[in-house]
Amino acid sequence: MRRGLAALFTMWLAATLAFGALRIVPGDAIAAQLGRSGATTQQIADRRAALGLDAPLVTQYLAMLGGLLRGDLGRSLISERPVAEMIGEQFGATAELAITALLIGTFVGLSVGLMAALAEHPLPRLAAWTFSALALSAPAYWTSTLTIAVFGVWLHGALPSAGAGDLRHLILPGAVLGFAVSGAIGKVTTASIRDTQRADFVRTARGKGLPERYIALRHILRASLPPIITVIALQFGFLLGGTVITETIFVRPGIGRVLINAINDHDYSVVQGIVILAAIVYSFTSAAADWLITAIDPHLRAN
Amino acid sequence: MKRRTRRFILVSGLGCLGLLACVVLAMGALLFGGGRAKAADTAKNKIVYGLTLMPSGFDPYINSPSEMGIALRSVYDTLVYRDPATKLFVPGLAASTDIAADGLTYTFKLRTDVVFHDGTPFNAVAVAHTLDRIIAPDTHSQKARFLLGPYDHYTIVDPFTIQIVLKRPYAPLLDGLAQFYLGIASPKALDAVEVDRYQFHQVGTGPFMMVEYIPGDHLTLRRNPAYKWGPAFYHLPATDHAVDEITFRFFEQPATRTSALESGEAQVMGEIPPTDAALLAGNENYKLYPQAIPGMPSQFFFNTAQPPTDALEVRQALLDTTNRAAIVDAIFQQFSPPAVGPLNAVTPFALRPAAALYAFNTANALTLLNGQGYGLSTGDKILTRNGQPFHLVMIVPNWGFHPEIAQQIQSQWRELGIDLELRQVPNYGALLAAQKKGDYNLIAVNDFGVDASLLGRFYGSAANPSWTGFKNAELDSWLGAATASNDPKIQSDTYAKIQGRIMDQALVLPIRDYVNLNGASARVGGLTFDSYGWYPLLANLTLDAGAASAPPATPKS
Repeated sequence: MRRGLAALFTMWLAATLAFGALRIVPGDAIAAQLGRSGATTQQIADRRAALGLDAPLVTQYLAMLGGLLRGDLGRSLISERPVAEMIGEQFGATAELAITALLIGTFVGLSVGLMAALAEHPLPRLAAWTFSALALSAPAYWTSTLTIAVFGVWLHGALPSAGAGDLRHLILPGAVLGFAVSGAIGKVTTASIRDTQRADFVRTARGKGLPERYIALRHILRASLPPIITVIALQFGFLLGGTVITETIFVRPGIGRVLINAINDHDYSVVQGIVILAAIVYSFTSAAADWLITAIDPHLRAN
Repeated sequence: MKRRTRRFILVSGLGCLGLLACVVLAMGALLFGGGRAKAADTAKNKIVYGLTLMPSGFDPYINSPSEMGIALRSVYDTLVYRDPATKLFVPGLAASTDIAADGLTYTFKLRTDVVFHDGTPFNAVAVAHTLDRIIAPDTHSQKARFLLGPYDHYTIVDPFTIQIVLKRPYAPLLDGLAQFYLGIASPKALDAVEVDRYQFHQVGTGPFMMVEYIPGDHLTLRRNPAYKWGPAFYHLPATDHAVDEITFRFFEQPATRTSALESGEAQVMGEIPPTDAALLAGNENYKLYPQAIPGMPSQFFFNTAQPPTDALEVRQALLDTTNRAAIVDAIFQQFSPPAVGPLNAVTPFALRPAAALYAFNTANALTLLNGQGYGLSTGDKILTRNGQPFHLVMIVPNWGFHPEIAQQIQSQWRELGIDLELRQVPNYGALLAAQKKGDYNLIAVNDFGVDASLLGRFYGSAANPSWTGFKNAELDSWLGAATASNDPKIQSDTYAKIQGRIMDQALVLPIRDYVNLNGASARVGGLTFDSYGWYPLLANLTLDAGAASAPPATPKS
């Protein structure tokens, strides 16, 4: 119940901020849309009135909230299509890319993080640390372009580097984004395991003479999971909202590109719709992460 | 203890499932995707055409982006066409056009042998239906409606004759009717779906049919096998090497366009960055197709309502201070000619001065500025007048190489002691907001089109918005006269006077004539463009036609 109210509050806040921010930014969707076609001031004013954009801001805000309560996100000012439909047709592409990237990023990030924390020899530890640092600092724009240069140009299109359609099209953008999120997951995994290694119960386990591998898997890894799950959930939220550069470079459909176009066009209803969707996704992933964490460690639920 | 162990096993199991899904996904990608790729390879004469913008909507009657036309120009026929070489009007779906002496009634005798892609016969009712769709208030047309100008009504004279009646004479009507925005659609298709869904099911009479439009991903066209009524510049009938299917994808990032050609992800690409174009030009696997675009050059309007550019001598001095050839060399690698006036050289009625107007001449500029009271005090690097530095503000859109041009200008002007402040804006809405604020001296904006009447939207006293703030009754009367007359002699004389006045009054700083650098795989042949410059004549495209694919001898516009 409390979580549901918190999610509703998050959505309201997101919608309100999106509504306010777009109206503060200089520019007018209708003037920009019709001005280039030679429309008169009167024609622009008529169109604004027909869309209710000449009403006081409070009236527009209440109309937006009323629409949201009815589940109506409105229509795009540019394409004239229902916003829910526009988001719906793009969400699948973003979600499949985000899930692919998260699976790759989690697998790689956990592996690298474990290696950095548990390897006995300093060389693999250094390699793992360097990999995480690189993943964290390399901008997606650069890694995307580099990947296309290698797999698209040098290897003569060994893997598709433009468009969507089949699963092969997910490999390069998924790997690029997976690499980006693996850095944070790897770093948190390493830090969390090192913290746990110093805990009293680990020392006790060692004192009892339990084998190191058993201690690592049964005690250390399990106790280290909560912060790792949190960072994975955060990365998923980032992926759903932050794939715009990768989508653009790999010429994929997706929410990010629609959002950028909508911001440029001052397409209020589309921006509001996407921001609300992002709030829903964040609320959901946050709740899922909390559930997983408490499932692993019931003490947290008691607290 | 046991419960906790079970929970741990559950969580571990979930994790393993995730990893398993990852592996399945990767294997599926390789197996499944590989199979699809093989199937795609067997198709004949298919190409991918790279678009450089992703329009938010794709309906020619509703939306305005010109990018749509790269595909839709070939889905629709128009009542008239402009010949790409001469830019004169030639018959399209209308076999003949008659303009009444009063300039109010246009009578179109329609072809009788035309059929829409869905089998619907083409006739006057179909033309009327398209006009109804464009005019309907519910369509909320952002462009098409305005191309009809002072449209009043139509009259169906007989099944193959229709008249369009205007409220007042409007010579640019034919230019509008030659554009894809006013292409004629199947009435059956228009009625089959809601207005906002028509963009997914477009049906015209053109050489290509729409197969599929997935927003943000692609648009696919397939050759219309029945097409035989095209204008003479469509090379018909199609040969074995004719491209029969085209998928359009949206390559918005300039940096990815050349690599898409190199990797084979696209076979034709527009708006190649000039540095990449120079590389492509020297590679036998690709061809470069520089295409001059009629309309306005890349330019900056002077704000005549804001000091110090309210003074004619200051504006003239700034024109003299700008080395346009150097800017073009530095940024456009000599692929674009320096602009000389308010219209690109390939635009009908464009000014063609015998000697360069406002040639780079800093001595002359200094004389003009000294005459206005500007001078350099000892040790100063910036000109001053009455103790005030010579400071100007330029509004710079962050697209179309404007930032790079602005930086070059800033650097050139600083050498003469002019301090130029650059204010970047991210989109057209912000550009309009900056114009409304008015505290600028120069602002970059332009438009494209074959009809010189577009000057009226920028230089007329009633221009909305008024980028220059310039008002002149004589200029207004010329602009009105040029728009009202269909007589080429009157138009030619009047547009010469209009452009002369614009340059005499130094209302604009033209920089370079716009040239779209198109790149294509050498396998592709027949890439030519219509008179508007942006839109390829897809009907003429060939693939692997060998010698037949050499660039056409037709002079580029």
